[in-house]
Amino acid sequence: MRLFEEILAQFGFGGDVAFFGAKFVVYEGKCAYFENVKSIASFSSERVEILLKKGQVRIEGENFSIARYGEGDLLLAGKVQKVEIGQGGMQ
Amino acid sequence: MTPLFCDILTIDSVAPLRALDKLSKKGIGVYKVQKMGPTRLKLRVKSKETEKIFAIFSGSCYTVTKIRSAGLKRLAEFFLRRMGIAVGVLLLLLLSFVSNFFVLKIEVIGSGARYREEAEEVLAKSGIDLFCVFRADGAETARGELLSLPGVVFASVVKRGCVVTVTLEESEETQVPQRKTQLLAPCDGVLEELTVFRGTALAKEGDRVSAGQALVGGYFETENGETFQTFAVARCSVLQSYSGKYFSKELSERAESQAIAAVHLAAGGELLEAQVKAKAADGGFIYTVTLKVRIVSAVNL
Repeated sequence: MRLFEEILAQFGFGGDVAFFGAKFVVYEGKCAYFENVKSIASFSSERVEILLKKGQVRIEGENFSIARYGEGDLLLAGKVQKVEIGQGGMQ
Repeated sequence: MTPLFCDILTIDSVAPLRALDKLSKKGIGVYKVQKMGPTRLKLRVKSKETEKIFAIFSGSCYTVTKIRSAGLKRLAEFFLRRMGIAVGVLLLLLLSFVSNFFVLKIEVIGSGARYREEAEEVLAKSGIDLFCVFRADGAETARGELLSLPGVVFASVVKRGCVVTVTLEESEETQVPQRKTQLLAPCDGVLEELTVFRGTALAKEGDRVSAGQALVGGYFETENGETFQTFAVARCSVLQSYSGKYFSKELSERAESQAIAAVHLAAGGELLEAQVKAKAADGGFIYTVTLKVRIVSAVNL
């Protein structure tokens, strides 16, 4: 996604974070888009766990379905209420 | 987002999500993934990748089942199974497209629609006729000819679909009424008075005149003898004797008055004199009424 490249260029982030870390966009109430997805650890309509190339992300919400998954990109449809990265948490 | 040509598959396994990871690593995208149970996923994939997916999972612990096609592929399969419908639809589209080039109806509208027959003749001469291919240059030629029709101030030839519409509009100007050029005697009688403001007197007061006789001509002559046409402006009065009969069952002054009134009504004009003679007949009386009336007439006054 060009958006991420533009943001990274703006802030001058390092290579590791740029290519392997958690990169996602949340559209409130609609969907969430994730890059660098290595696998889907678990999936249900209220909770999804994805493993990234570096780290993992836990997503909680309602009515989840996988709109698209392939080539490291995951488009998760549904109402996202909480996203936790690795061992920390972010809402 | 979801591919136009796709298949719906199910994947059964103890850990069906790993199948998604396996497909992702192989570069195969999955769409609309739904969890149907703890060991089953339902998903969509591009139709061209279905065989590849079966090849990937053959001999593995994942059971892949194709449910059906989806999207446009399903529609295509429907028509392939029913070729007749597809051919029929295509034929219909083709006929609609081809028939658009032909003229199937000609309409003539507008205030000049009474020139329908002439318009159709003009169109036919320009090569535009029923069941013929419409030609734009012919339409322009026809339009020019249609403008030469009497009174037509606007003409257009337009084709919409397979209908040619000819619009003809006539001038809205009111026709100037024809002015009377001479004064004619309104009835038989004696010319009592003749007043001429314009034109040439053809009779004089006291002359016996006939109904329709020209009393004032629409011209005048100069001293040199030249004649110029114009319109007469004149007034005359003619004394007419008018007779009529009236039947009444009684012989009385009232019956006499009624007889005069009835005959006057028929004669018209201004009553000057009346003479009445009564004669018995058929169970009543016949009144013979002779009136003298004045009839006035004028032209361009």
